Amino acid sequence: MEKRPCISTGQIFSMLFISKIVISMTYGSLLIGDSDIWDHLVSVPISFLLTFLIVWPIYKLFSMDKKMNIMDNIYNLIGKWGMALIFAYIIYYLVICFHTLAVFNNFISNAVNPPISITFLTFILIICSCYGAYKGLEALARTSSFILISTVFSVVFLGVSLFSGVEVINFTPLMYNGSESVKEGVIYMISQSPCIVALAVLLPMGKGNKKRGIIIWNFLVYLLFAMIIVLIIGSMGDFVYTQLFPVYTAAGIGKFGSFRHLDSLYLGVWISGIFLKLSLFFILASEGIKKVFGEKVKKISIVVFGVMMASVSCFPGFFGILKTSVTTWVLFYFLIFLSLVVPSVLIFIKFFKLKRRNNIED
Amino acid sequence: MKIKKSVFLLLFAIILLSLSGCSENSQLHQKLVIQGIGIESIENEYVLTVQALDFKNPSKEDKPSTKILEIRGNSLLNALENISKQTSLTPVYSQNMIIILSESIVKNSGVNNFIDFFIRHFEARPKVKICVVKDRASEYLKIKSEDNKVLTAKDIHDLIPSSLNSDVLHFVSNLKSGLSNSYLSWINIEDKNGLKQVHLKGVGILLGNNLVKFIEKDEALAFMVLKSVPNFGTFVVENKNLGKIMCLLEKSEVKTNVNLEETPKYKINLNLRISVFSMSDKLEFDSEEEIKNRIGEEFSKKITALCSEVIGNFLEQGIDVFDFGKILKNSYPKYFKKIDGDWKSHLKNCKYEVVSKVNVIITGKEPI
Repeated sequence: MEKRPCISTGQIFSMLFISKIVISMTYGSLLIGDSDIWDHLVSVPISFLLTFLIVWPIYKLFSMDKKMNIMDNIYNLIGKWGMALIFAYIIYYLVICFHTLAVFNNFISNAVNPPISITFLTFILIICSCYGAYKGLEALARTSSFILISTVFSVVFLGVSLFSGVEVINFTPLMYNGSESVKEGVIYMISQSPCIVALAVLLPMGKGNKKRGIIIWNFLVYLLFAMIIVLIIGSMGDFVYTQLFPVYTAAGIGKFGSFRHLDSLYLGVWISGIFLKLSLFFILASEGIKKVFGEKVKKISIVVFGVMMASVSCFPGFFGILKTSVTTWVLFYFLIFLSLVVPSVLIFIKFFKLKRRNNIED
Repeated sequence: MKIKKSVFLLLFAIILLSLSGCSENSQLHQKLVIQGIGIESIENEYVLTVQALDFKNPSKEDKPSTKILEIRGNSLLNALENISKQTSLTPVYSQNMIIILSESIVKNSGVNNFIDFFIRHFEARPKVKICVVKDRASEYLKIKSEDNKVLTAKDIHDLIPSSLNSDVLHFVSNLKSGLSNSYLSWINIEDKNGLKQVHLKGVGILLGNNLVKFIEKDEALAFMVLKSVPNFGTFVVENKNLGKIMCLLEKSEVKTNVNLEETPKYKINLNLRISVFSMSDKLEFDSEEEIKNRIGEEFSKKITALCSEVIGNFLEQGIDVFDFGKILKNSYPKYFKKIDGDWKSHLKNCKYEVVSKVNVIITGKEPI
């Protein structure tokens, strides 16, 4: 029996919560285009319920054998032909890393514009993330506790600081221009939930009540999303649509007592979240490599992933892909395939095999 | 293990040393920390007047001294680029507090030609206050106060009440909404005993992205009341029975509701608190309660009439500065959808009623 890292369910969902927040905080016209942000408030409960639906096959597959992750199941049920599917998961995790880096790159170049080279900054982030991934899941889970505490504090602080600036008149009727924006919101929110696919690997590694973990995590993620929408629209009105990263702009206008310009607080928390997300998805991709090539190649693969990401960062033009609406759709279909289609097929095969075994035994 | 640790330490040191704090650092005196920007147009050129903190020539007092620069360019961006070229300093916009626009530039070229910089630049803050002046914008950033020191951008910033929402955030939000008209606070220089003083004179109203009118005196006072801005000058109430009474508006709360009859009918409820500091001797023998009631009644009548007149004038001109469009849209979205594209022409048909409740506080009874 291979040795598996073991962390608590709380730690798993802390990491996933931070990974999701990182993208929620860059929510804005760069990622959603001309879609009406206020209508996305309707998308929130829909996405909340849809997430349960999408998570269900992964959870069901896990509950059939709690020691096996999705890659073990693929290998056991489909055999060597299943390697292609394992590679699909690896590619997905790497695509998410690339997407996260693209968000980081676009955000830093547009909103912060630091005096040092952005490529160099990306390199540092990749090196740190590779180191985090190299240290393993347990170490990353422990780090996530610290990041989670600072994230929660910052989010609460930003929320309170913006609350006094909310103007009720900015809350226009929902779906005033039809339901198109609601649909776009749902697609966006689901496509930016790679954590669901991450659960396929992480669930067997956690100790504790996973069902409760999924419910609380999903509830908090979408509660935060709803809060973000209410606060940015309430405090900025139509100004929101002129900003690429309205949550960051909102952090800049919030004030709490003598505290002002809280965007620096946002930056600190956000970058640590990006580091955590990259490290986590490097680990997940390396788990796939481990399944295919063995434990020794796993650690080297993290370095290879880092080099791959660093090479892509040398061509910042690639990061412009975020501006195309195709990206959201590609991520959405990829996610649906890996979290809904593949686990459902595996459940079916497993169920069929079990039934056949029972029949033979009878 | 030791080699591994050494490699990590070395790597860590390289990363730290290459950060901007250790190399290519820029000192405070190499930066131009902008506090206020004046924008005007002279002979088809953008003229920028910048008030910035001067760290090269620090003053002996606690406050850093300020310096004023005048830069020209074909466009606002061009003029801003010229700041670094002329001064060899790096401009820092994050500490900017005020943007002063001259009437000519807002009236003729419109704000769309230059406002983009203040929306999208990574250092620009949306809460920067924005105002308009009738004369040259540069004058306001060069004006000297009593002690022969330049009036700071902070002083001008403090003149504009935050509750007036005359900042980039609200200004752009109204421009973008297409329903409400944008407005700017209007500041003016007055000569008092040979000493120039800047004060908040009224408001400049825009139609689209061009300035169309200024409002001042009673009209401006009613505007401030309707925008929940207190302490805008002294209010004088006068009638035969009461004589002359002077008071200050301490609090203004406005609640606007709309009912849909044949046309929208707005009900504007004003909840006001005034402090009376001077009154005629005609009220000398009345009890305090009686004085309060009579003043309250008279003030209520006057402010209601004034606000009604101002609202009427704006509606007549198809100007929506009191968010009537947004209120109607939020209350009756289905109805509003039918008139959405043509809201401004429907403004004239809207009915309105102003109701006020006044709470009077007497702080002084000095005769006028």
